[in-house]
Amino acid sequence: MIVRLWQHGVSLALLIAVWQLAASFADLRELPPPLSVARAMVDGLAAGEMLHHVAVTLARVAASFALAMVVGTAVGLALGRSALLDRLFGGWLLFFLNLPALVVIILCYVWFGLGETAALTAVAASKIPNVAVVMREGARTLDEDLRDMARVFRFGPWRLFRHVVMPQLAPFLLAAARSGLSLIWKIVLVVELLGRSNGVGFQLHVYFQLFDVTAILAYAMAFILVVQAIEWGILQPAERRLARWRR
Amino acid sequence: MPAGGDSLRIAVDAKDYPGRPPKAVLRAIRLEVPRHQVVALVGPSGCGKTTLLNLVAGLDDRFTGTIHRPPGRLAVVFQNPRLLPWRTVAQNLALALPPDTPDLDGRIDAMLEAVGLAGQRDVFPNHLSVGMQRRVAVARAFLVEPALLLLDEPFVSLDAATAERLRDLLRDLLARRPATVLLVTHDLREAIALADRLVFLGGSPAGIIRDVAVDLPRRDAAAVEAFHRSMA
Repeated sequence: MIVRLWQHGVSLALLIAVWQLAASFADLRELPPPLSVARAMVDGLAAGEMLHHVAVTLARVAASFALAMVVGTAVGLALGRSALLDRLFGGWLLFFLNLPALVVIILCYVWFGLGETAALTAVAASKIPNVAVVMREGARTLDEDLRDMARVFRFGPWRLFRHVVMPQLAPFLLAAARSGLSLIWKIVLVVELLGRSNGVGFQLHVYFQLFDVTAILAYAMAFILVVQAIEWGILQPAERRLARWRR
Repeated sequence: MPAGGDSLRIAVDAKDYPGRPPKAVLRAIRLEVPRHQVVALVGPSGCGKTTLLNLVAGLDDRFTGTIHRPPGRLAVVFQNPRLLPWRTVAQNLALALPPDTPDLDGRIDAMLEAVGLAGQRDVFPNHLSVGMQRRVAVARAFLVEPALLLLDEPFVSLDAATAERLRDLLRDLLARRPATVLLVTHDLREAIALADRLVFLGGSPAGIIRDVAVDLPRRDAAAVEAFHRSMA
């Protein structure tokens, strides 16, 4: 554990060193050194403005993530448990899976107007097929032997769900959540850039027009820090908890 | 013992596996097991013993015929222990009983004590040996105080000494708390050591080809061996 942490530290330091080296070599406004970016980030956070936009984006990510997980899981389980549904609608899934997120976003804005509903729907809709595909796989691998055991010992529907089905789906849920989060972050930014007047994506757009690379990188950094915090604070502990019973 | 509502009555006219053409597995099986009798279903591997057991357990209803189970709870010790790997030993046992069972913890502890797993309460099944996992499965089955207990090759793929200890354990538990038992095995000596009656399945599709009472006062190795020889 300590050694791993150490290696992570060295790897990160190396990345910053390369960046610093390139920045001082180029000596351009378009490639600011790490320290300027860090200062811009701290200033932005202190001013409260950056915090506001990050929070707005975070809220959009949370809402569309929850929506995508719930709908995607329901669709995936239905397709995974019913061969008929899978034959009928499996092809749809493939279609939506290959539909570019940008197309979904534009269509949502055109159909529902430049509002919050359209933004959240667009993000969730781009992610639902991925969640559904992963959860369909999970539903297919459910253990029939354990289900029979649960029947013999009269588990009832709630205990069956909580103690037999959910633990088997948990790794798939976690995989879907992890890949979902990393995708949704990115789509939310595009949605904000195209049709919202706040959030990190909107700010990036503003600074792009000003050609302010330092501010853009500062926002990107703040963003990466939040994602890492979620990874370390929520996803990894959840994963460890789920893996306790393994040999 | 008179045939009453308490006995297990099996009347399977036909059980087929789907296919083109369907594969006939069981035909014309009539078996009545009086209350608290231990019956061993003996036959070669793949003859349909487990299929019949699944019908009796109510896990498969695609057959023609009727099965009357004695009133009360059913318990099964499967060929694989079928424990929930993500739940501890005690949680696995607790799930077999309703949550509002009085003194649930006390009953679980007593049962674990009885199968010699008192110290393993909070261990996950994957951290136990196969023999210990089987004991947990046996404990779970007896915990529900079943009227009908089904055992599907419960001691297969264990070393001889472990299997023998588990057979002793099963005899003890049954002596303390009798149940109507259907035991599936391909091991005739195991059947003789445990059962009051041997029912042989054979043929294709399988039917009952022999029904033998085991009337042994003592079930030590010598007595089992003698009975085994007498059957040949």
